[in-house]
Amino acid sequence: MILSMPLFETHHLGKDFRPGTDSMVRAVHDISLQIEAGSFVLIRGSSGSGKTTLLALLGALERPTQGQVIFDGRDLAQLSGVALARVRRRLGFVFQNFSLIPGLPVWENVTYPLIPRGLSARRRIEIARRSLDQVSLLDRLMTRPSELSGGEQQRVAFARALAGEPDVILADEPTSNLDPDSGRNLMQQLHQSHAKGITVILASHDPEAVPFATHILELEAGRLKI
Amino acid sequence: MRYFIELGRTGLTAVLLHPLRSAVTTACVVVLLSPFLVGLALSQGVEEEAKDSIKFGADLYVSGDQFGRRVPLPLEAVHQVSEIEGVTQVTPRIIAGIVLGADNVDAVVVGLPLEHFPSKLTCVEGRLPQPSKRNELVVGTELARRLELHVGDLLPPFYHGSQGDRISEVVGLFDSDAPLWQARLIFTSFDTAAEIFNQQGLATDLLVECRSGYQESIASTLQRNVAFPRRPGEGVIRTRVTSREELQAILPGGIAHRGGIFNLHFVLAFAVGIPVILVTSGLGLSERRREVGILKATGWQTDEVLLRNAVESLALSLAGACIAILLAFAWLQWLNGYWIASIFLNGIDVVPAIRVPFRMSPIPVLLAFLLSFVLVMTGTLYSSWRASTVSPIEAMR
Repeated sequence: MILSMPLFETHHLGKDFRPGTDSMVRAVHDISLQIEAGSFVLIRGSSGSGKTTLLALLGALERPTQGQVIFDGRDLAQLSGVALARVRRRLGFVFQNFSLIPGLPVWENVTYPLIPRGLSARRRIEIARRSLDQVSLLDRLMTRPSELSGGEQQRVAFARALAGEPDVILADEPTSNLDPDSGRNLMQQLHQSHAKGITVILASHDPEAVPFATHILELEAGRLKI
Repeated sequence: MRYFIELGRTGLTAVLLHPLRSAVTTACVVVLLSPFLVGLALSQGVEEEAKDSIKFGADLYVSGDQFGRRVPLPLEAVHQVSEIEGVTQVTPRIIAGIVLGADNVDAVVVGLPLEHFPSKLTCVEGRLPQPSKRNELVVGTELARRLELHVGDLLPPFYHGSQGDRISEVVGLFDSDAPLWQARLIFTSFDTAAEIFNQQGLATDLLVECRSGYQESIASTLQRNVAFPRRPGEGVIRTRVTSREELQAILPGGIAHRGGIFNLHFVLAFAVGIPVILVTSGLGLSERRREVGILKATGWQTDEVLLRNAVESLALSLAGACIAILLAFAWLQWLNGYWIASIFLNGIDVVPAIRVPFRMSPIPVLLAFLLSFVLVMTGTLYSSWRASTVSPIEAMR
């Protein structure tokens, strides 16, 4: 897939787990693509097709074993740990298992990524209010994640992704642990974010996501299906 | 600045995020540091007490010397020493070790003229020996408890005497707050002590008080010019003089030697403590790794994660040191060193019958903070570093 003005580019991207052993797994193999800013990309595929790994490679959460990921003109493989962290600050992640910190109240979970930016607690609470308002959870500011339903936890995770005002939201199967209503709700929120100009890359096999996508990538056994 | 304050704050809240890990790490620090602090406090307390004993003791301690060995002096020496210019008072003393009871308890009999009994010596029960009466003893509470002695008890003769065997009577028990040194003492009159040991006419040493500025010349005179004849044909007894300053100089050496052994043992315990903390810091490691993965996935840098962990470790080490200091103080002050004093002080029971001396000075307290920090940092550094250097997705897995 070739798009104009690429925000992401990959060249012959590959990721092997346990390379050089008998149990080596080739999660992603020879993927070359370009994703333009402002698009809503849906990555589809069956379980084990490499969706999560591709998302992790695009989001600088994993280093590739082959090929390149270029984000905003910079080869992620060439970046230092500090520079990679700065790249991640431009991205907002929504994980399948929510990945909230259990002991922290909702507002802290939402704004924890902002702490290294040196924001005061007061400013972070303001941001948390704004982000939680967007996902209709303003009344749960001081609640612990364990007191929330799965759908609410996923909305908190989404609010956390929004709090850093990201250029890109990467969401990995965000609806798979949710009931249909909560899933639809989250899809609407992703759609709204996309409408505001945020690039959305969603890994999902949820058919509800298809209408929102501007581009769809099909993965099969770690390869891009053409 | 705000950047560091906010990062530091997350380190402090992380202490509460992992309550089990925090509690176990703090407990390890407390278990290691408390005995160390108690040992140091006891050591300093004993040293202070010893210094006081020397400070309020005599200017010179004079004993006999033959072929480099200490021997008793004849009582005529009292008069002879009194004649030396600058001497204000000479007190003969008998000090001798004995073994008492079925359990062979070591005790020390001190015989002094009654008018020279230590002014701090007060009886918790009974009275001090009276001038008109002989063979009266006052016994330290610790010794009395061990030997099950009470006021009015009669003690059989210690030795067979040339002038007949005399029974001694316990007439008093002295204060348990008396210095540690007195806990195993038996005080009696000089004459009674001489009779007990059947060594009439001899003193083990003389306590000499001097006028200011004369101490050196008196010591010199005693060592060079004074000798006491023994029985005909047995040569003379020369004097051996030990000044207060010499005792004060010897004391730190002895304390330091004992302290050195204690410190060596502590270093070994400390070395064992680091891997213990290393293991305990691994408690809830998977949860911790996942947390670090979340932080890194959301834009935290490795050094920011490490700084957060360092602040957490600092908080834990401060908490551990504070609790250890308070516990050590409470243990000594209110529990009177229950059990632990018997480990550090020779001859003290699990439940000390005397008031154990201790002093908590600032340097060991500061040292406790430093050791606690080193212990926790060294113990947690590896697991923190491991968790924060893997890729975020691997940490979250």
